Amino acid sequence: MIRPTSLILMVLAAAAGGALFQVAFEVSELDDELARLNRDIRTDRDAIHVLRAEWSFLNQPERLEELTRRHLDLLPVTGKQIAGTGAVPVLPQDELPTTGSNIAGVVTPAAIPTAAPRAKPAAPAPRAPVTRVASKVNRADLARSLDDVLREVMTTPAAASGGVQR
Amino acid sequence: MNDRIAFESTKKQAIETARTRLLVGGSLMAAAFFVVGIRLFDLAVFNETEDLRRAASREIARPSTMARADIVDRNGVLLATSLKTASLFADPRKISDPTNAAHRLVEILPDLSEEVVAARLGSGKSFVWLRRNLTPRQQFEVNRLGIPGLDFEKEERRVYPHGRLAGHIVGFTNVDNVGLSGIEKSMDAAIAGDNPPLRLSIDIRVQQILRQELASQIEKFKAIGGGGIVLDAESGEVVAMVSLPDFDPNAAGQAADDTRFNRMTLGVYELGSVFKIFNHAIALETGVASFASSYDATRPIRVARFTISDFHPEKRWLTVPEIFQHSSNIGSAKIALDIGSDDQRKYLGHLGLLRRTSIELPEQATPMYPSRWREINTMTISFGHGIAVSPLHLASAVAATVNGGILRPATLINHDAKSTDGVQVFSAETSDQMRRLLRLVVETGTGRNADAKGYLVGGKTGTAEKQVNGSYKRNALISSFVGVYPVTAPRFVVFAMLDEPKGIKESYGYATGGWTAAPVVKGVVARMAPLFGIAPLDETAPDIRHAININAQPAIGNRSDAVN
Repeated sequence: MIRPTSLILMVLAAAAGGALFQVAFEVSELDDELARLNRDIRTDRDAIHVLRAEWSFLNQPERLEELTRRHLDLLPVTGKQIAGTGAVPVLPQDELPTTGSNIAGVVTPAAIPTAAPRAKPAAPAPRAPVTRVASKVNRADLARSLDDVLREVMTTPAAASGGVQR
Repeated sequence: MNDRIAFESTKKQAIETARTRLLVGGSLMAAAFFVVGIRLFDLAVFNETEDLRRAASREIARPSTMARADIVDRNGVLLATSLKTASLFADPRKISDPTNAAHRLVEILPDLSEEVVAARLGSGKSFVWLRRNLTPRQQFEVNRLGIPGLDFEKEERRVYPHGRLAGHIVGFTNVDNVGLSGIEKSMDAAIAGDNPPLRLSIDIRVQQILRQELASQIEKFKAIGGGGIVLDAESGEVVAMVSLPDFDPNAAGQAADDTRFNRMTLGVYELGSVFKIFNHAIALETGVASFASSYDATRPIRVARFTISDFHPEKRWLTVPEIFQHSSNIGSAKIALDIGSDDQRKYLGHLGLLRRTSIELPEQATPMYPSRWREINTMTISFGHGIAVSPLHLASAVAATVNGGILRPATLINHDAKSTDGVQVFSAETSDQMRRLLRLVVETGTGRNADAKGYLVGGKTGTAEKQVNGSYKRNALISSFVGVYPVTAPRFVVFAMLDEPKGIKESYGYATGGWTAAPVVKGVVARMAPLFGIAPLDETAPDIRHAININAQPAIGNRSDAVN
């Protein structure tokens, strides 16, 4: 007859074996998952690569200029529009509050050093054109993107850029 | 009974045998299962190689390798990249009906000729290319045809998102991704393979500004071409370089040869009066003349069969600053005679004007200068005739003249400003005096059209007649302007040149550098300065007047121009 100790040991052995195989299968599944994720990452990286090319293509200065002309009331910055803070008239001292600050740690205007900080001219930030935004890039999007870029670069008529033609 | 016993005994024996056999079979099976179990246990628990492979498998997520590195501008804007595409080929031996297959293929790929495709498919070879670099959509369509014998090969195609804007600089490759021109060729070794992006010194925004300003002047003055360079005066980095007409590197094969010609590096020109910058600098450096010296420019010089005369004759004695201001050929030639041929040649050599530049482009030219440097050559070279250099040579030498006298090699690769060792050509004092002279030309001389308000442009005009078959053509000019700004502490050298501009009513029939090229420089300076954080200055401020003042009296015995 089987003694209780043997029974317990057998059950334990079976349980250990079962758990072992369970873990092994889980690892194998995770392995597959990892491989799939890596594949996805690679696909996405390729997609990013294509999109970067497209982004650069869409950001041609000439194209941005044309879009700005069409949609915005903006012109390039000229020298006349840039001035240092030193050129801003300063309020007379007595019109400024002299009794320290109401808020702890906040410097009152009177305490601000009068030396004019270096003028930082505002470089015109190129307006990015709104293009399609895909939350998840899939194969079809990638294909369409690459299609657009290749077609455009391959068929851009020489005259479109308005260069000197002879 | 015996029978029974016998029977029983036989039966028992049979059972015994069966048992034994069963035991043997069972043991074998048990042993086999035991071995399998051990192996299973070993695989599941002790398999180290498998674990190592698994641990290493994160490497799968490495970025996919590209056959060629990207090229980006100084701000990281993509100028050249490789995209994965599929190329179509066929095994004609497997094509059963070439005519029909060709017909259906041409419907999808209309740029192919049906006859050519049919001929290739019927050729009986084992491999023919049909079309390189299909778009994904075309690949899908071809697959849908379901013609056996067609197949694709993954390839990479070089794509230039900014097209002609940087065509001369970036260059292009052939279908097999081998660099054929520009950076693609000269830096082929650094680009080929899976490398980090190559960062150039050019700024695509400045490139666009320069190209636009040039194109509009070329159109206005009906020039056959032109070009421009923006050079960092300190580091020697080329921030922009345009040569017009230009070409689209995405379709380089169809570009005409003259559009692929880079006038800025491969073209050599007699650039005319812009060379007076070096003549004056050499004179001041060697001490043969000072701001107070003056020369007789009353009448033209006749040497042998040549006559050296002035474009706008003042017909009087001129001081050294006045010679520069009025761009007097007579005065310059006389200064050059004082300098002497040897010193002239020595300093032009130090300025890099007698050898190739070190620019990273395969398209570059060696300057042309007389092998025997006679007196007449010394005189004409003083005002930029009899020596032909590329515009990049000139811009680089001008940078050296104004930046404190240090020549740094011109480069297209982004690098730190002071990382390269320069060669001291002129003293800081000579450089300072030259900056004053250059400002004088823009404030009161021939370069007024380059005066971008607030940015303190200094510069020199140049108008030279082109030599055609050994003689100068009166109406074929190379009109140029080289500017530096801000003149008090130069950041950039801006050069512009027009090839054969024609005079128009607005310019009173003139097609000189002051009318044609100077406005390009003005436009470029005014538009690019905000991009580089250069704040406009008050030109009337005392410290600035002090920095650009010229202390010299007008030459004796004549009216005084606005020279102060």
